[in-house]
Amino acid sequence: MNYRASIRVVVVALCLVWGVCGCSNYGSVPKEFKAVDSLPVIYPDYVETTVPPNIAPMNFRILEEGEAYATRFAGKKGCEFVLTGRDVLIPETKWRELLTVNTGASFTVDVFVKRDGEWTKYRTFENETSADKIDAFVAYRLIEPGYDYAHRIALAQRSLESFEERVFFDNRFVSSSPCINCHSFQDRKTDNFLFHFRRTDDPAYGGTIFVNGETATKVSGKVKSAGISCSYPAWRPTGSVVAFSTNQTRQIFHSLSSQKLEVYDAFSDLVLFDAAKNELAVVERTPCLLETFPSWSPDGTTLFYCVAEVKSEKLRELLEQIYLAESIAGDAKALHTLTEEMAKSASELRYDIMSRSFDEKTNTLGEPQVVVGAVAQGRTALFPRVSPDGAFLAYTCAEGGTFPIWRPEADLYLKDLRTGEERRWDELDSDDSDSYHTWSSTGRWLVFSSRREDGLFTRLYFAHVDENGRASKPFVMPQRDPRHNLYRFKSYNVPELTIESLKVDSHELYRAARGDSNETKNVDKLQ
Amino acid sequence: MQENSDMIAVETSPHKTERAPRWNDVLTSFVFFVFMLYFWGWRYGDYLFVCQENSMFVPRVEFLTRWMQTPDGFLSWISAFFLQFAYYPALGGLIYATLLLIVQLLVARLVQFTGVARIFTFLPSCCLAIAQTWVAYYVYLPYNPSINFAAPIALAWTLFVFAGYRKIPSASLRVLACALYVLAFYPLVGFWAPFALVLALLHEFTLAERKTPGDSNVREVETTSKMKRVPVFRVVAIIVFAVIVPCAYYHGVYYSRICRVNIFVQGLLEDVRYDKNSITAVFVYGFTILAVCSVFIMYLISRWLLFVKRDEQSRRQQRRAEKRATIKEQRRTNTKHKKEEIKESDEARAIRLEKELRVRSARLSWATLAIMIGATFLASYHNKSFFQIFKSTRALTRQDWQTIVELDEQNPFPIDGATMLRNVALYHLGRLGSDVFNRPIAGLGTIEVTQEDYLRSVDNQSYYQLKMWLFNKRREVEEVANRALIELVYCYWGQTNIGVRLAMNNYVAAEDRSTSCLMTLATAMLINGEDKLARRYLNELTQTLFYREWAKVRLAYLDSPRFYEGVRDFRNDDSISRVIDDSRARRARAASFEEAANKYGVAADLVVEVAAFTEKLRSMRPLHNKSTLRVFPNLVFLAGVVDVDEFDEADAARQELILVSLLLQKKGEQFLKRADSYMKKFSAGTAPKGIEQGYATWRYQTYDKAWQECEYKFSQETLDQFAPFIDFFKEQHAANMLATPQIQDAMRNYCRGTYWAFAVDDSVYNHY
Repeated sequence: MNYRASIRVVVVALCLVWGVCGCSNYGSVPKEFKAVDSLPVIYPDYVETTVPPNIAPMNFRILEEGEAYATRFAGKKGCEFVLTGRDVLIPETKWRELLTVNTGASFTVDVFVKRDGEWTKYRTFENETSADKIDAFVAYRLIEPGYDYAHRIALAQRSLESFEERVFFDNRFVSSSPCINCHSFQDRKTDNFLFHFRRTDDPAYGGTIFVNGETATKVSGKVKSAGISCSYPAWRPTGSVVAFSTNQTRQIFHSLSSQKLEVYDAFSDLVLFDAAKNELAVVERTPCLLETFPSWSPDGTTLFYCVAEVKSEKLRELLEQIYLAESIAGDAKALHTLTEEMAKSASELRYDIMSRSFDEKTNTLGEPQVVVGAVAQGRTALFPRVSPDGAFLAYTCAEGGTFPIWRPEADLYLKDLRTGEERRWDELDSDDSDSYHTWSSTGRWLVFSSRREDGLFTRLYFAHVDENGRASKPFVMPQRDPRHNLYRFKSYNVPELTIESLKVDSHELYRAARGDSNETKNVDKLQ
Repeated sequence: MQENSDMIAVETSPHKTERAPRWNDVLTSFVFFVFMLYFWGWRYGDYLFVCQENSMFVPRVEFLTRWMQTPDGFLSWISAFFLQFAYYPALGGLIYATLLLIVQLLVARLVQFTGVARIFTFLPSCCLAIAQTWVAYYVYLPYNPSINFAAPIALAWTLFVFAGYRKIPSASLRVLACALYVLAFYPLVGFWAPFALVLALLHEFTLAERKTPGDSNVREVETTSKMKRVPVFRVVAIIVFAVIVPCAYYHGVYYSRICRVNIFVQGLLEDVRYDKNSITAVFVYGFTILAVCSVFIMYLISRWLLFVKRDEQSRRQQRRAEKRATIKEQRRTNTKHKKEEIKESDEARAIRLEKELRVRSARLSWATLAIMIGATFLASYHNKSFFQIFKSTRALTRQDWQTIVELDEQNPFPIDGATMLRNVALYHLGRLGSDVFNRPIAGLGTIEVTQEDYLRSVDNQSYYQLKMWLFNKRREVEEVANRALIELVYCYWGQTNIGVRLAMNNYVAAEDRSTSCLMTLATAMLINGEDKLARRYLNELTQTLFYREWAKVRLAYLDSPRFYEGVRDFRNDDSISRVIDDSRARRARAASFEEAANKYGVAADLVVEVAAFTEKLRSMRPLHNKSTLRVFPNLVFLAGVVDVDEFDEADAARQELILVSLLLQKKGEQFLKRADSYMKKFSAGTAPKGIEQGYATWRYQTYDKAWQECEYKFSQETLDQFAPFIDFFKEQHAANMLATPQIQDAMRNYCRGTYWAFAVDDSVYNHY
């Protein structure tokens, strides 16, 4: 056989293989079947939910046992196709067509399973295709749910319109695997964002990376009076001001509870940081108030945050003593005692959500107002997030504690800021922890972290929210392989929706991380 | 064609006509293989088993792509594949021995040494074997568990590829091959790709081509007119490829995934596991590097030998042989009974000399091989505790408590890790209270290094300083033994939350590739009643080759009604009880053990066994929740393993455990407070021996002569043994001699196996 003939044979063979692979997914529904009135069990659960028109294909696996499978997708306004196989892998072009044609309408899914030579058709389920698009990207931290030890942490941005995930910062770049945390974007854009990284063996090496466009700089972000660096950030929607809390975070471990551990703050305060000038100012040193989780209103005129009051006399004395010292973290013995004492009541620590008006001209905050008085109701309210239209405040509620992701009873709550009505967001509720939520830029979608799948590995769930605050059934972030979430032994942490992909190159981030940090200037007041 | 009598490079060995008979080569390699088979399949078989238990392989594309994040990922993946077969140590040993043999054969083929020199081709394999044993207890600190097989696989592959490279006739093609090889294989094997290019560089640098038709011993290669010219272009090109390509990959792909310093060592040396200054690092890194360097040096030598004229070589050897023969002859002529010497012909003499040379060479080869094997044996990490720990941890996963205790009894100087395992085994055998003080609690150092040794070392006596230094270095390694399956041990004490915490930490460190951690997590979740997580971990294990049966038995238990009935007993957690109402859980439930077992194709009695043991462990969980900072119970002295405040509401077994833990911690007052009520339940002399002895000891400490005045009647054995001890103790106490090393040794010897010996033992290793 000569050279040209060989090439022809190879090309034809490849085409055949491609054709077979490409065509093998499509099929037809059986003509005879037995209908049952139960919904098929599929994984992930994409049954009777509302999906955005620009979401990636929602591939799933049929969990019913059988010899053969067929799945029919049919849009109310047109577009129909049938796929075979237990893993329902929807071709992207077909999926796009289905959603585009049926935007604002719905599509049905019929699942057929063959058992002992006989086909069974399960009850048809219908999914709505919303007219509201979701922001194209979501950024998150990938971290194993280890208790003391986080070996591999990465910050990633995933396109919600495809399966592409880009890891833009990985802690493997130094051998000591520093902790990376608290990524925050200004107004859901990637022009300005920040994240921290810390090395316990070399605190001077860490810092906060500020990204402006395509350039990154590292700052120390250290609060001199606290002796520690800034923690939870909230970038004001406009301007260069970032609100931080400074937190001395600790863990305690439970010997019996399935909760395993509790995370608490020994102390925390609010700080305002000017990213343009690398200056920070402590809002107020409040020894007996633990302020944390700042968040801005969409117009940047109000700062929301959580506050817990330390009630124990012994703890109050300790805190006063520590705060009197030049640097809080300097008095190691007192700090150790405080940490131990706080541990005893960490589970009962409860937060209210407060708000303070912000004066853009003077960069000052007004008097605190109670927004959600959870403490009076015997609960703790955390992670306040106002919807972009300013109508709603979403927050997480639990029986106590500072870190609700470790609380199985943690649920999402919604407060209508227009009427003042507060309710548990039952549509999103599950038997396990539901926490950390972010609104999309239009306010019509919400992403939140949930451990509903197995109680440990956090996954991202999306739900549509209408003008009245009613949410659809949440669905988990789609993956190319339906079993991806079963194989991935990492949690998705701190989901933040963004409307665009990152502009900065990873090399620039590592260059900044490896370089020296600019020392942050502590001032009394931001100018 | 011109001849150059000075620099002739040939592709075959100049010694070919003088090579020892092939049978000798075959036999030495065979003996080496048998030794390595014994070494890995039997001697270090348990160690190899534990290595595979701390590794993982599942046949899934996603699993492979996870590995491919770093340059040596594929190599590690292949290594994990082979390592899984060490589930059967003999099979794992066979694979490992075969790999090492292949390395040796390829090295021998590469360097073409003959005679005694050929024995040095075993050196790289021996070094790799030694390096692997020095990982020792660090297998329990998983980072890249499959590093075990990576080096021999990679070295064998590199040599194999290099052998093919040498067959390429065209120089341009060889350069192209170098470029393509490092481009294609650096992402797969890391360091080993540029290393292959280093060998190629050496090959090119020392290659002066010559074409001599008619000479059957010389292989035809490319012609060049200038025989001494160094192929500069080729050399530079190969250097450039070897350096530039990995750097390019680093900056383009691996920038965020490996450190810059690892560009050229990724795949050879593990980055994170050891303290770089520790003795472990010295041996593991050192011998691995030595293996690689020895290949390079041997090849360098073989290339140098190619430049020596064959004739000159042979003449020199012949002259040496003749000289030896002459000397021998002279000696013979000087003897008293002179024999009539048969005049040999020249040819016959040459043959005789050659034969003698061969025999001598063979003897020397065997001697050298024996030395090398012996050195490998001696230089490998080993001691009694080492083998005991690995055997015991295998028994632990099988819940074979009796074996653990028997193994411990064979070792007079148990280290902490051994004591930890023994304690949990005794508890599950129901003999903790009676047998815990039969043996030293932790004998390390109390015998090997004495107080006198320490004092002399402080006194700057060199020998004792060296002794202390060696002892401390050994301790560095043995301290890690305390991590031997510690997470599972906590679960076996009912401290499942701690076990989960450690297992998850180790699982994270192993980058989600540890069968052992998954098994512990699954076990803990079953005990805790957290079915979703249990199912997740078990489903992952069903994808492995050798642990799927283990997982299926437990999945069957999860689906059985007894699991769901069991979770109703949880007193502390609504979320666990909600499991009962979950519709998917209800759907998965079988009606009986048999049905559940049939569903997974396992034996029902295995499911019953798992159910019984899980329920036993569940009953050992703490009665009340306690929240603590980062504190781990001490498993040697059992401090914190059980909450002493739970004594009054605890069952008999837990009460016994509480009392033993107080005795181990020498907390006499707390012990007595609880022991009085405990001992009342026993008739005369029937209380567990260790507790009875402890009771006597602390009652004596508190009440002096009135120590027997209690409701419990001590056994005659205790009375007979304790009374002389008290007399001796009082005598030495009065003479202020109690703390002296001699009296301490005397008390230890006299009262060995009793609680009071433990109580008065002042050695630093007997303190909590």
